[in-house]
Amino acid sequence: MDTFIPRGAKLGVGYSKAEILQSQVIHPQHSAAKGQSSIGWLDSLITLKKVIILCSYCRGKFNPRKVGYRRVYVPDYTGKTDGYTVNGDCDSCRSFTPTAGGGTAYQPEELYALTHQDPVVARRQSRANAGRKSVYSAAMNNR
Amino acid sequence: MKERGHLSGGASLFLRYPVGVSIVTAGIPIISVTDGIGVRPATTTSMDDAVGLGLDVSTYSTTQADLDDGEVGNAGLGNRSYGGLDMGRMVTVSVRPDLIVGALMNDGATQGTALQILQNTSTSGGGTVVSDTDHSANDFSGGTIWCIRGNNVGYARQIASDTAAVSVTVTVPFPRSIAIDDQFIAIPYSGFGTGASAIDGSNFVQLTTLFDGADADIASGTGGEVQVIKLELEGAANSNVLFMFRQHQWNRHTVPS
Repeated sequence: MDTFIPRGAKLGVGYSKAEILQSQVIHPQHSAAKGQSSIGWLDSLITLKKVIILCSYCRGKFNPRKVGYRRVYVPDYTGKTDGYTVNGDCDSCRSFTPTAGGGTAYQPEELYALTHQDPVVARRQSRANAGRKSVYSAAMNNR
Repeated sequence: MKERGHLSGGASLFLRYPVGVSIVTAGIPIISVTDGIGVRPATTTSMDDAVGLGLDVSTYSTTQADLDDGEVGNAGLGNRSYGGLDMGRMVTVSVRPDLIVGALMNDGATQGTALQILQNTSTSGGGTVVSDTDHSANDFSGGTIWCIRGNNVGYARQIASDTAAVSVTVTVPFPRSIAIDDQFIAIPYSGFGTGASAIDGSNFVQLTTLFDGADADIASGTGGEVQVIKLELEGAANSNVLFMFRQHQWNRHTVPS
């Protein structure tokens, strides 16, 4: 039997670069149990008080306040995001959020203060602290 | 500890990892170990092979279980919720190697212990010596001291030499004389330094017992390897050290054999 081999054939021919890269990604995240819906997965995360990540398509369907969650804020030194963008694997549709319009993370209220700043509170504290010093000494203080 | 941004800016990246031991506190450094089971909390003196900052808690178990653990509807969230023994064995980690972690500084190994306030007992007209027997027995040379009450409020200096439980001395004097009863706070950390003796306050941070804060009652140059980015020098109960992991697993210069 003749076997035809395309000239210049390489491993991975027929797959896009994105598909090849995707195949190399190690997903440490446990996948949902067989038959478990994305809603079941989210409910389980909420029960266990885990962080939830949703892409821009899925986040509109999630009401964090209803389950005692809040949006995660991480200061962005470049100002390119508003600080509320967090990437990862979407817990609803499973897409990697940078390819799905950016992600948003949610965290239980009781854990939030242990791991993240509230930007409003941080600014209030910063202004209160700076108000007790001269501009020069405040700058020295925060070198 | 808190996520306080990234040195290169941009959004955080959160990934989930299986755990090798139970993680009982959110906001602690998470590290890789060699057993291949899962990630673990850092130790008080080592953050080598850091994975990042853990953001939730998890329970380790070797019991075989499906994701739902057979406990349908056990949490009052309707019959779609699951106990999730298997799901509980994972932790969410903020993994970027340029993550800046903010840690509250404590006077000892217990999170929430206010820093020691030094009340000067001997006038220093030259503004270089702060004396108080309440000063730590550990060597803070290479650390930082700042004034919170008196003539020099708000001014900070790097500590040049330290006499245990007696005094600290700075090279560049405080701008005004140091009077009796002026108050200062001294810490073993600094925003700069090479790591050499007495200029090593910027390279190590020791963690509290639960790994959720910085133990600031240790000798400078002691603890896990980090690079201090910034010090937030406020009061005894609300001062923070901001640092990056120097031995992050995505920032390795050599591959272990």
